[in-house]
Amino acid sequence: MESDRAPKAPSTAELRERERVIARSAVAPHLDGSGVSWWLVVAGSVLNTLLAGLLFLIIREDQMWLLWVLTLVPLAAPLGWSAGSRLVRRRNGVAPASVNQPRYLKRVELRLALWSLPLELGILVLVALAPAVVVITGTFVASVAVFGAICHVYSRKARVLAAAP
Amino acid sequence: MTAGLDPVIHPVKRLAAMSILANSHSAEHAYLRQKLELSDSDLSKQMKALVEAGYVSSRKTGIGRGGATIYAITPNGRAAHTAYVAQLGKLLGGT
Repeated sequence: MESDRAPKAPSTAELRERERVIARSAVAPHLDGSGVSWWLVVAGSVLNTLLAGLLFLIIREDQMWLLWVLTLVPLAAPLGWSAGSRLVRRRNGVAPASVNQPRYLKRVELRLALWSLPLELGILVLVALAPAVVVITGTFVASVAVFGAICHVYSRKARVLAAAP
Repeated sequence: MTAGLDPVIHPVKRLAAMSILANSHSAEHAYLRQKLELSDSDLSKQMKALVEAGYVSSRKTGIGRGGATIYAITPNGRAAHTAYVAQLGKLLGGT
C-alpha cells in the first residue's frame, strides 16, 4: 500500500507527474459514449408501445380492469433498468451511462430527456384519437426516432468532449 | 501535510482515482480498476484509505456476480481535491 506520508520536499518531476495524472483523469468516464447502448432505445420504444396499447384498451375499449397493470409500471421500471444495466455490464465490463458518467454529461442527459416530453404528449393524442394500428405503429416508430436522436446526440457530445484537449 | 499537499491523496493511484471521481457522477470499482490499470486488491486498498478519510463514499448494488461497488466523491473529498490541485498549481507556479 502506498504511504500516506508525502515526501518532505516533492521534486518538480514528482509534481509534474501529479499534474499529468490530474489532467489525464479529468477526461473522465464514458466520454467515448460507450455507456450509451442502443438497447435502451429499443427497450424504451417497446415500453412506450406497450403503455400506449394499455392506455388504448383502458380509454377506448373501456377495459378498466387493466388499470391495475398501470400501477405495476413504477415497480417494473427500476427492475427493468437494473436488469438492463446488468446485461450491459456483462457485455462491456462496466455499467451504462448512469454511473461512470462525467458530471457534464449528466446535465446533457437531463436536458435531452426533456426532448421526450413532446413525444409522450403526441402518444396521448394518438391514443385518444387514432385507430389501434396507428397507435401501435406510430408510437413505436416515433419512440425509436426520438430516443434514437437522443442517444445519437448524447454519443456525439460525449465523443466531442473526449476529443477536446 | 508536507508542502501543503494532502498526504491522503498525494499517492499517484489515489490522486488519479480522486480526479476521476471529482469529474464523475460516480464510478464503479470495475471501471476504476480498468482505467487505473490496478489489481482488485490494490484498488480496494487505495479506495479503503479514501473512504476512511471521508473523501469517498462507497455503496454496493446487487448481489453475487451481478453486484458492483460504486464510489462517489464526498463534499469533503471534493474540497480536499480542489485544495490539492490549487496547492499543486502554486508549487509548480513557483518553480
